[in-house]
Amino acid sequence: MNPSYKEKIVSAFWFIVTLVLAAIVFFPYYWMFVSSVETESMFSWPPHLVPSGFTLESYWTIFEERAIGRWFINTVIVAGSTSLFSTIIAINAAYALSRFKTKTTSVFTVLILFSQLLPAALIVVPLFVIFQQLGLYNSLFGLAIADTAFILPVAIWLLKGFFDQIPVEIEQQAMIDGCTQLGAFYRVVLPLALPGLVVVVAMSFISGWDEFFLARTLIASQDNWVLSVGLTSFRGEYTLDWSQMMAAAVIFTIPALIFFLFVQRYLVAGLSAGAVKG
Amino acid sequence: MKTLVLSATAAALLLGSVSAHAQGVTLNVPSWMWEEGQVGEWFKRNTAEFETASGNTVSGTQIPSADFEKVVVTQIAGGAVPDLMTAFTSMLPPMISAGTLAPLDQCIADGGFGDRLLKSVDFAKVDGVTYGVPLTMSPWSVVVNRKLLAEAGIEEMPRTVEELYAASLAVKEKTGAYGYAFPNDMAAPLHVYINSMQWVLGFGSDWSQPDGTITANDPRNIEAIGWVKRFLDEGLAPVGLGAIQARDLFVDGKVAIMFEGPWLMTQIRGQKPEMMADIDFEVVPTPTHAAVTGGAFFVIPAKAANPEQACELLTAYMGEEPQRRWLEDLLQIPGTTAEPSAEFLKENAWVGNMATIAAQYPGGIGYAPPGYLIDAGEFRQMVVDALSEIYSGRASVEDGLNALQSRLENWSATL
Repeated sequence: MNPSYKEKIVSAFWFIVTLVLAAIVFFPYYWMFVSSVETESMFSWPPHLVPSGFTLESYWTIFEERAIGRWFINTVIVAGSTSLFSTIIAINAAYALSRFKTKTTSVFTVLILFSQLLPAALIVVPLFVIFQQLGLYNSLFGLAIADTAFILPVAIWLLKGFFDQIPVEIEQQAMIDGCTQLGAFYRVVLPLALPGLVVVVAMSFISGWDEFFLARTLIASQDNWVLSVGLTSFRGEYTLDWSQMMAAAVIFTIPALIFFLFVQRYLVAGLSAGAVKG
Repeated sequence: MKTLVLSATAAALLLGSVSAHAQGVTLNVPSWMWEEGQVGEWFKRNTAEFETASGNTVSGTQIPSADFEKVVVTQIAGGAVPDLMTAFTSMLPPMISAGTLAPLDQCIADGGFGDRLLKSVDFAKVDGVTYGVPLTMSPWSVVVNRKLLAEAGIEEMPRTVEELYAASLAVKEKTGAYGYAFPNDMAAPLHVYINSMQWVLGFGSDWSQPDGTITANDPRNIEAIGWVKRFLDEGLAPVGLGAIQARDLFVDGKVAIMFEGPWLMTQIRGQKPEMMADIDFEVVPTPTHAAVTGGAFFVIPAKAANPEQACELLTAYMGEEPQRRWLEDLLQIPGTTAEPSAEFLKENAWVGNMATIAAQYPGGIGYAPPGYLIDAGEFRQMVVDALSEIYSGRASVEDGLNALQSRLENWSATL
């Protein structure tokens, strides 16, 4: 067989495999959308893979009857703040752990990760008490702080890996050329660690976007609900409005999807760069 | 001079407190019911009437039912104590045991609704002290789609398990729909357990006895669960459905019989009112016909900031008119006796059946295994784990229940 012909067959095979895998991954999202616009009952056989009718009524209804717009804005605020807080703190902490090594640095670095070993359910009551006493209960700002606390250890470790990869000599060169250490950090190190920064921004944004447990516990009033909590309100004790819930899920998913589409190039580069560290 | 200043200060404080009382307080009332369709409307309407009459305001916090217990317990543990709250029956024993609920006897006496309370109030009594007031109490019996049964050539409602089996077979063969459906989504253990309760109680047994004796592998349980498995194995009941999906399937006209409560009637009337004429409430076709009573209670936490006003709100909810509305608007039994209108009874003849069934075939209140009220959650999970093995065919009914017996006995010994 002609080698180039064989290569084409192999690549076509892998293309089909990839396509099938992509279809499997994408199907739940497709089904979610179909269920949100379908006019017939979802209990039908064979199932309607293509909607038998099309209506946006569920979308209008959830905007009319629920504070979905408000929850959406709240979610953007919480996810954006979580991303901002965790990135700023992680940059400084990771740089310090990477560059200013002392006898306690490695112990401290491991201790940071130890906080990840505690499940949220274990610390939720003390967290609740602290937040209530600080006046952060039922506050979006408070929720962003809590989300930040949970994502921060991973963000610090991730960024430390990136900073470790950047040779100190580059900073020294910048300082010889007249930069202060802070200047070298912001003008030289940070741009070189950009893929890592994007990973942290994306990861913390998504973490704040879809976090449920803390939001459920630390937010009381419906006005302050985020979308992940609002979604659960479509499920009653006895009933569930499937089409409305699916419409809300579509609205919940789209921004995160768009965000990922924008950053995925950096995300893959960033994650793989971290992977070959050593 | 010092005395004068102190007196003036005390007078000012007193005036301030009087003024604050006159302005009313804001009561924190969490519930999973605030946004639940007609139930939510009942709460909002009666709360608005209370606010107008009392000058107090009510902050009704909606917490979805699936998370309600976790969230509200965390709030109470963290010091954010509600003034009045709804509670599932399963929440009462551990909350009473932990001392988190206030005695309500004085409130009930002051409110003057004690003589109208359902007997179910006894469930919330410990050592003669009442810690909860029934909000709603309804029996799980059978909701039947007579039209679908008739299409399968069945005119009489099945009264025995054998008849239920035959009816299911006929409905499946002649209409393509299901004769019987029940929750068997193992990710939602409570409803799987409730269904199993209906069957084992229906065969005259239970998973345990009030003295704590484990009876998981009682021959009657083996027979009962054997029947449930048969419906699944022979494709006569849908596999993997949660309680909500099963109800939706029924409302969609694709199921003839479900072991359910009147809340399914509420759902049907809200979503498919034209179907109501074909629906009836019937006796469970098991040997004992036992109907488990499910429901919810009103409770006031021990550390509530405004217990007096919370009691006033509770009294308002338990008023005769709101209670009658609960029955007529929601088609469910309220926490007190209520006198429905003759017109309502004429339009909803099945309500009479429901009351008769609840009285004739009492199957106990709530979903806790006898003797294990406090640790019910763990007990239920172990039962459902065993049922998962059995329903999926990884264990026979006998082997699965024998293993469950050992596991529960070992666990019970550690308590």
